[in-house]
Amino acid sequence: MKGILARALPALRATWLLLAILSCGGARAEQQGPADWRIEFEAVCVKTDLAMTLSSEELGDLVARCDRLAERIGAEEEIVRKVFLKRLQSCRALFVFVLESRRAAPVGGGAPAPAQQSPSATQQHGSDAAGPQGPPAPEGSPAP
Amino acid sequence: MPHQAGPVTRRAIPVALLLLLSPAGASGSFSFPEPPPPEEYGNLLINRASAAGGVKPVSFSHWIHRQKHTCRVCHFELQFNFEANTTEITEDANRAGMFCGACHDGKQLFGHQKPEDCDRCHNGDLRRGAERFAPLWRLPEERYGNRIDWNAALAEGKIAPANKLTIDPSGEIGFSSTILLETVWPMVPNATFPHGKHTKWLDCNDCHPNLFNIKKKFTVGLRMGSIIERQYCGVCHGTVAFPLTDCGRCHPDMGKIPIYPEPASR
Repeated sequence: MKGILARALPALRATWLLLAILSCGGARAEQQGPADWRIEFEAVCVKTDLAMTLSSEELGDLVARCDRLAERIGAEEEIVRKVFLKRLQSCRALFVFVLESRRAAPVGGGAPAPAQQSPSATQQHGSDAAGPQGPPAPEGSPAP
Repeated sequence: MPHQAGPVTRRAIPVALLLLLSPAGASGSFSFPEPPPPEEYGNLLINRASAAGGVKPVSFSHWIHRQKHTCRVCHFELQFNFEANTTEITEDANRAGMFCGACHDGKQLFGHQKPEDCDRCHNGDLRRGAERFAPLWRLPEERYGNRIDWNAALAEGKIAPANKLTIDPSGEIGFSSTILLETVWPMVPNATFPHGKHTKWLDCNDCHPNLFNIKKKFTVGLRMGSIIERQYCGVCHGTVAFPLTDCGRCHPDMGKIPIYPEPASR
């Protein structure tokens, strides 16, 4: 009996070691999963305050990253999913907004342009702010 | 027989027209809400589900929190909607580190662990914490709202609110243009909008594209009546940021017109 145990011991040890490594790796993978998307989430959403300075290509890339992230966050538990998906959608909406604004009015002061390209735009007139032809408020609006 | 105006009426017509067209007349057409005392300005009760759940509504004071954090932290990073009672704040979410629980976790600040702490938020008292307001008189003075010029306090370094929890802003927001908004009513001076003063507190994403969407070259419905109804600028101005009675802050040429009684020096 002792002989059998002595022969089996190295194999048992090796199996235990292998299982331990695998379980540690699994746990690490579990810990890394959420951290991964969170890091990417923050890397994407941090760009909202710079959206005006980014090129259209960069904005397009951010929108694509938002879409990929949405899938990953969608697999998270309910509370995380609700909060972070909403925040992500909000970030994405800004990137799309800046992109579309640029496409809508590529010339003139109406569209948000990268700040570096319009350093003199410290004082825009209402007509500029609203686009070359349009008033800042819709026709017939009584104020402000 | 057509009605003929008498001498009194004839005199009254131009006066009435002048009043109507003047800034005073224009703003007199609107009814601004009665301002609360400075220590209550920006306070609110959150009662989305509290009362239904058998607990008192949560009292929240903006002036307590904005000394420590910019608006961006809560209204961008933590995703509190601007409109009270529309954010799905739950105890579970708080305990999981979302919303209030991002700071009120029992480690950084009191949290949900001790029963005696419940009343610190769930008290239903709009004046909660009023006794902590007096030290704020050291901050630069403003005429309305909290009677504190928060922008000046920030610029002078008298407060140093954190601008992030986890999402570190990339840097100085690269857009600080001041926009001139031409008014439609005659004799109502134009308004200005300084991006720079707002980006010190907010993220672009707080206002764009939900509140202000210039995609169609103008923001549909941007008018004083809408603002008073807490849309557009009125989402903050009138509830937390300086109130709409402070006309001259947005309409600089109205600054000296005494439409509202100047409040006594504090």
